[in-house]
Amino acid sequence: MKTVWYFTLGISVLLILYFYGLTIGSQSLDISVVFNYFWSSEKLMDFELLTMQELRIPRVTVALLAGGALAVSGLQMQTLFRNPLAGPDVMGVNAGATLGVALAVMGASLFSTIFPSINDNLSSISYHSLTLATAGSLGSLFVLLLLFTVSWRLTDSVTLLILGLLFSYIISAIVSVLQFFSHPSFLKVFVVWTMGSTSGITSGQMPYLFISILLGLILSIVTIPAMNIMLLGDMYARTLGVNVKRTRVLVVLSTTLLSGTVTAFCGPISFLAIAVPHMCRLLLKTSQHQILLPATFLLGSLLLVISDIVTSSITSFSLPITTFTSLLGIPMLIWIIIKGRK
Amino acid sequence: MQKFVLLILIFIINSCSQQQKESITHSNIHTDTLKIEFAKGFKIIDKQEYTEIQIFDPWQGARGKVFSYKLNNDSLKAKSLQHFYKSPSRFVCMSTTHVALLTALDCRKSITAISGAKFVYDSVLSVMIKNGEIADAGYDQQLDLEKMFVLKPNAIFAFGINEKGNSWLQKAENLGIPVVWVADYLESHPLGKLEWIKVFGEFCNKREFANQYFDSVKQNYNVLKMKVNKQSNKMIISSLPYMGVWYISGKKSYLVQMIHDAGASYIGDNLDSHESIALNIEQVFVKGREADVWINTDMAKTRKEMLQTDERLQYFKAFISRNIYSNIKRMSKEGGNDYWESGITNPDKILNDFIEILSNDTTDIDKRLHFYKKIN
Repeated sequence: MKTVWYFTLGISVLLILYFYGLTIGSQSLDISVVFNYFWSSEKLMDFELLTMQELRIPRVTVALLAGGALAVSGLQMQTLFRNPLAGPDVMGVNAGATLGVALAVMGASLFSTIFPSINDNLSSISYHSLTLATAGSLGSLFVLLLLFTVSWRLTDSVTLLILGLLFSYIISAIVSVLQFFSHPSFLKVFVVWTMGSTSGITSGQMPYLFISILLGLILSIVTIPAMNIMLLGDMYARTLGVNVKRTRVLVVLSTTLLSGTVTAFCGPISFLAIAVPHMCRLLLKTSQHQILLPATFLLGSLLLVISDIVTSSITSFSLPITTFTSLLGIPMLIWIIIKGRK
Repeated sequence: MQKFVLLILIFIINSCSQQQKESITHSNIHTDTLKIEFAKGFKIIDKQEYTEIQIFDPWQGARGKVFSYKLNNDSLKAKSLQHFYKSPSRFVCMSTTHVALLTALDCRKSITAISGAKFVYDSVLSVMIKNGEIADAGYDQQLDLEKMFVLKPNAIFAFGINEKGNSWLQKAENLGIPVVWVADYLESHPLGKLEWIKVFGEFCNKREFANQYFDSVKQNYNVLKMKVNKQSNKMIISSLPYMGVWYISGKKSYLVQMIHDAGASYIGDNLDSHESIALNIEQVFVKGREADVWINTDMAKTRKEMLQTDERLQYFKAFISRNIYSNIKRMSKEGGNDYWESGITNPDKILNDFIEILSNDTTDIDKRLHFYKKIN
């Protein structure tokens, strides 16, 4: 009963914040404009219609979807690796996306140094926002597959975490080399990407993000029963008839689609993926994925929509969204660690 | 008694003013400060035995920092790190703008190394780099100190971004390699940037040449400025957004100064800054949609590439009317752009490009533009 109450409250607050978020921006829009957009758009002026359609709705909707997707990917990684500190940023998945984007953006500079004649074509490819998104997703998949392969041999969760960190360091070294050879213009694109933003996605790109997240969520829902059993260990799961190998592959695919695509489109957004699943466990006092999965999606969405509202309203300049999620996520993580120690 | 006190006061005031006059006269005998018209970052003072160059606050956020360099015609007297011999020889340039200033002075042969040498546009220098006559000094601000130690330059012309980032240059000084701060990039007037040619002129012992070059470009610039139709009322927008972030130049930047001199207004006229400011796309969208002309589309060379960066650009008036121009006409295959090189020594040509772009007659405009190119 308490769980139902939490969900009802969460959905209501999310809906209120979503509509409130649509009024927030460099130009303040009245809530009536937001409602008119959905129910009688002919009443809106051209400027209001365009602002809603091309700027506000993509921005706040992306925050809602991305927050939920990142939180679910964190939950899945924590279960898959049986590690409370697992998450796309800690395990190197975000670093993988960074590598993909860095290769797509700055690799052009490096290759054009070696092959000057292909410079023109490369520069145009590397600026394509969908190229960046694809490259980021592939980078995430690469790191996840690496981790996944290693996790067959190493079951110790601490060792896996260390490996994730080591992958991040290697990737960071490769990115530094790419930065060294990069043209300043490419470097600028890459640095802006690393800041993380929900306002860079256009209405035309929304379907790609939406389909990726939807597929990722479907896969995560499919694996719910198996994930519940896998919490008890692989051996136990096998004896209960769970196809552990298949489940792992599905979870890796789902995590790539969720966190990889979000990172590729929005840049690295820190700490939501680690903190939100823990918050949900503490609130709902359960480890059952059929409850945790929708709860993490809901809370993740809620927190990123709040972050978006705060970063869009406290300054007229472009404040990286990851600054606020870090400020929000790190104290929660410290609290979780201290509480765990007790 | 009152009269007596008054007399004493008059006497004291009078003697003080006499003393002041004497000290001014005294200093006039020994020093002569050169006339600097636009630049705010340096002073050139002729003293009896040497010329002193004072550089002020050479990086963003620097307050009250003064660097003093003495330049002497006698090589025997130039013995300390801050004491130079006036001669065109063995310079390291940490920026392509320094390269451009030396090139304008016809001092190419005095360049020993350049930071980011592969991005140099000048064809003569490119050949010299390929032949190994000019070395690559390192990456960005990070000097290859070992190479510097071998090359033994007479001076490294450096620029500073902030206090922390200057540690490499501090190390160079510790190794006995003289560093000269150049803050041309902080100047807010295009002629102020160019005026730094006078500093380089002193180091190359080409004062007359530097002054003549500056005066000639200044005259061209002012003639063009006078011709401008101030009533055009056109608004310019610049650069492209990435991930929803749009860097817009502040109203105190040299780019905005040139736009104003060309008779137009700028999207960032309300931003009280020397630097570019990261704005959210929504902020630019509101005002920028009405801009008449679009300039500096970074690496996007076509309208299609602009849309690939952000499809929302299709709603902008300048995009619809195809009034888009970028400073990419003179680029090397390696990515070096002459706009950032000889653009600093030819601000009159940039101003002329802006005037052409803003004119109502745009037929065959590409033929009339020097640094800019129409984006189709």
